[in-house]
Amino acid sequence: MNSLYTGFPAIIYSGLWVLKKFGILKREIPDARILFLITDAPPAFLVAIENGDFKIEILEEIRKVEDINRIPTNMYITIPSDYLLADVTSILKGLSEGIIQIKNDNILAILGKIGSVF
Amino acid sequence: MENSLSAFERINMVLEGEIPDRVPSICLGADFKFIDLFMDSPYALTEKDIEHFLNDDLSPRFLNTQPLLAKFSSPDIYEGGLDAKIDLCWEVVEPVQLERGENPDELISYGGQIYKFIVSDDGIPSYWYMGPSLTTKEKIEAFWERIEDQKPDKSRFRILSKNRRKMKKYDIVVASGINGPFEKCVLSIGYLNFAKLARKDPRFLEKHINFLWENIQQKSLELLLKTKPDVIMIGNDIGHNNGLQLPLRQWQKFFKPILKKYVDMVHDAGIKFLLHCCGAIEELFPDFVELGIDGIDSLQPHLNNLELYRNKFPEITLLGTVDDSDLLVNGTPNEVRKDIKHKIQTLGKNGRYIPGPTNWLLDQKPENIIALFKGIQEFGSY
Repeated sequence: MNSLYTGFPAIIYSGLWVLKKFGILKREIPDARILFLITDAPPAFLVAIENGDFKIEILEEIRKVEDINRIPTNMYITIPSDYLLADVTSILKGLSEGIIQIKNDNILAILGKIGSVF
Repeated sequence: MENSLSAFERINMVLEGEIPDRVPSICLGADFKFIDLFMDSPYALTEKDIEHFLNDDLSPRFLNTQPLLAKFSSPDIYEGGLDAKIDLCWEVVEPVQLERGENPDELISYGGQIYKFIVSDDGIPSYWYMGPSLTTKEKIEAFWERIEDQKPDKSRFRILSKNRRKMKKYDIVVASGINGPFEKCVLSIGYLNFAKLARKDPRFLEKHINFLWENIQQKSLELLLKTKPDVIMIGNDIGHNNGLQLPLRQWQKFFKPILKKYVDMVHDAGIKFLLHCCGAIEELFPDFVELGIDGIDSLQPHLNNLELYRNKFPEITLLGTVDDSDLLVNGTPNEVRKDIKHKIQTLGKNGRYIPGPTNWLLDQKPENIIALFKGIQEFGSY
């Protein structure tokens, strides 16, 4: 059997997959196109959530923060891996220090839902 | 079946060697594959279940999948339940934040175990142990230098405490735990490295094992005990299919003294101590008795002589024992019923028995899991 995803795209996929299986994705997460760039583990990947389902696409060409606007999205997050693997407090600290960049605050609620699986 | 005791009372009575109203049951939790099988089965959660469980703030946590476990409830606890009640489950805390590995696809747990999330082409995720990262003495020493980055995180234990309270509403006891000394050491430094150090530099190896205890495991256990858990279960797989993963004398020399510290700390807090320990582990049972361990979980029946354990070590509660790799995967519900009826008659007639699948649910047939927990209720009356 081959792998579709490994690493951080697989972590986000795993969280969304569980939320989808239990119907939570459909009930509680609005449709969105979210670009994730784990700054120390590129490339970026695009998560498209639509009507309780989701898809992930690896964006080989997006490797730096400066490149993220090349893809039209309604949300994005650029975040170092140690902040993504930490807790909410660390993410808020990273935001206040400018280490983490986001477009659209709603991404934090979605990240919180994904985080609740782990 | 009406339950006259709470799951907590029932489990504690069994661990005390008393006979409760019926045989309690254990299900550690469910991995991704089982979630997929279950949610595609006739037993899947309905829209009504999902709404009910969301209102109770149950989370579909990886391995400790709260809505799935609650769905097994008896109807007097939850009217939409499957009447296949689970009394005990398990949640293990990773006390220190995972780190990204040298390979960005990999995650490193404290002490140096490499893990990886993988989504296979059938779309089902999995999470695998990939190997050790502290494969030389220099890497182990570098790990010691970084101890300030490896402090146990209180908030992780607070979440566990909250999860226990949530599951209490469904009369499910959450055994709480951290990793044990053997598993954490050997999976982090590797078997080859362990064997080499045990032979050529046992002092260095002892220093590392003690370092893990003093800097992380003892502190984690203190944080865990502060949350006042109902029962503690430590994960420490020491066996493989043909025996122990290391010579008995090495286990006794390097790890038994640390495990004793775990047991004593937990008992001093007035809490029962369970050990999840896979594989063929007969050689360890006399040491388990000496340490005062209250119960041993997993006990794959094709690797262990369970009737011998029952007769020779009556002071230890046997948990698990129902084959998760063949019977529950390839058998029929009727075969599962026969198996659990026989096991309760032979292993549980005098108490000290908490049956369930021998590991996290993975690729078992949901109808077999239902048959197992219904069977425990049906044949488990005293």
